[in-house]
Amino acid sequence: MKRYAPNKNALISIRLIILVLAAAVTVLSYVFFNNHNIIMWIIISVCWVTAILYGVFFLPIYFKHTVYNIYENDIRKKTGMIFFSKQYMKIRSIQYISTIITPFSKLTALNFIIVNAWGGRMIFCFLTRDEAMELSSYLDEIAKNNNN
Amino acid sequence: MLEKHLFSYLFKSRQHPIKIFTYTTSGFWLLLIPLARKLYRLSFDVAEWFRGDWLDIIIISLIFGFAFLRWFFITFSIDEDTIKTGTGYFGLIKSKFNYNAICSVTCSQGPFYRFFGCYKVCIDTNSNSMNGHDVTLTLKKSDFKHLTNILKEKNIGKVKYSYTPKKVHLITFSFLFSSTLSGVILLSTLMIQVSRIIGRQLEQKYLTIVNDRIQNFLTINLPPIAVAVASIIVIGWLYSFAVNLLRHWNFTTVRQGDSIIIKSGFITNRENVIMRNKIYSVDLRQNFFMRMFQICSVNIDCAGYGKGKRQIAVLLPVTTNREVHNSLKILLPDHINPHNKLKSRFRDFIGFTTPPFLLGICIPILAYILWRIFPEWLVIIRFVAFIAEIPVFWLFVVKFASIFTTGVGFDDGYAVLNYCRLYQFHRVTIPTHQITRIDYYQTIIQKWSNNCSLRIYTCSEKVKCHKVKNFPLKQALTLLENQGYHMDVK
Repeated sequence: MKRYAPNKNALISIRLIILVLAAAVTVLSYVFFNNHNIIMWIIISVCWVTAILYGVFFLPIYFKHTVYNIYENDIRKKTGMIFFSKQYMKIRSIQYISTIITPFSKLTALNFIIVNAWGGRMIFCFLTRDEAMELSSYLDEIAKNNNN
Repeated sequence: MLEKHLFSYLFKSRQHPIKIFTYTTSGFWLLLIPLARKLYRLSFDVAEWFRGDWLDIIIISLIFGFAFLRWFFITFSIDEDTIKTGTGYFGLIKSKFNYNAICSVTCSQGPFYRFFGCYKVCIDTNSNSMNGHDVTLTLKKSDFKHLTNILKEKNIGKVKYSYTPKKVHLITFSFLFSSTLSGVILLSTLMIQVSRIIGRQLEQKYLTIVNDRIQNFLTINLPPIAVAVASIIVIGWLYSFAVNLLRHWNFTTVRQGDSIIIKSGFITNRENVIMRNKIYSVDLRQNFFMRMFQICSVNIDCAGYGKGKRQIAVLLPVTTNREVHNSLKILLPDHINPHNKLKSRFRDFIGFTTPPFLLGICIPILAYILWRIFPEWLVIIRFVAFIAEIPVFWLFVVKFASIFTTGVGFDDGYAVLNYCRLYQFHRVTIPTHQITRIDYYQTIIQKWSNNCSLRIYTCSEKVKCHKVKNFPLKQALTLLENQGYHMDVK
């Protein structure tokens, strides 16, 4: 059995992205709704409350609880932010693999693997680049064997 | 290193450049017309033109630039054993398809694509893709030839078995499977769009003309709205019929080695390459008239085939009951034809006919309530209620006939499911390993008569549910038990 978990660098990256987005929304609402103070403050507060909720509470919970297990015959995933779920996929049902490797993902760990299987898919998020490459080539080989 | 990477990325295989235009917004051309007219009026004085319309020009350039970037970042490579694609924004989603995982490849070429010498290719596997097909690419002729050569390579030299239906059969098929609803939706959309552009005069003129003609033709007085609705339904159906006929014209099915190649189309040419071992079920479909005249249509369940808008996954459009098994033996030699082991009984006709019977009673009651609320609408309410009763009565007849056809059977690793869904009779043959779940359930009437109905879930690209109704409970459970489906929960 091999165990994978989302990398902490991804958490920092997402927090940074959320911060930049929140700042952008603040500036835009200041520019466009300067004459409508109430609307401006509602937008700014909703935006920052959401950003803080996600950055401080939900995302750490997600990163703490998400685990991917690769067994010989199946893949299991445990994940969730508020509601937790467990997913199970048989190895022999895998059809093909898609990978998303973003630029600078060695630093940000924003890498994703989409496992496309019979009638559904399972997504592995925020793995390190090395882990993503290793896992995708392993699953690719499995997909190849499944279809032979 | 980076330079080398960028250089190799520049020369990757990309889609046909014509795809850039389809990535722009649908109203893109409408924006270009006034700009071009203004440039012509200014005698091609570009500087003056840019000064006057700089905002429009920048917006159009941005739309075009975005489409170009989308085209640029979508890359693919066709190798000996895999197809690799880079899709999504900035081509970040890298996928690798093994040829053995591919279930079907659908190629189509409409007049526009034919003019530019390119092909639309859709590739599908058994995974349930969110955006329709797993991969959709617009390929240049050379790339298309390369891909089809690889797909057909292993079958070269093998014997070809082909089936070409008669043109009369294709017309019958289009006649029987034309959907009034889709035609009406298209026609209504067209009328709404036309009304938006030139106002409601055309719509009113159309209604008046149709009404006058019908009133001259028939001696009875019909409400104008009824005439309008009827004419829209008829024209909608005719439109759907024409589309269906053009789509299935020149229909040919060929089996060669592991593949089945289905070609069809008059204006848009289509070619579907289907892997024979990825066909999961064969469905013989009939409506009541087809059953009377002993003809049927054969559909197949294979990921990707018949997935497009208003497409039907047909293998044999129309054939006679006598010929169907011989034709299937030619095209799908592994296909077997199990017999029903469990049949529904005539004495359980209440279970089949109750839903349409109740629906038939509900309509006059509803009409009566509406008449009490809107007494001035009596004529139209009576007319609509009468029209609504016709399909319900027909449903009653079809459901009654289905008593004699409903059944389930298992034989040699295959299951046969005979059932009637709405107005259509189905005979589905499916390998038993595709059955993922079987439920049995009882309604109040069934509990009283000790009957049950079965829900059989099968898995292919999507989970499908086949409902087979009204069997004696004890016999159904024994049959399932014998096949290894233990329904006892302790």
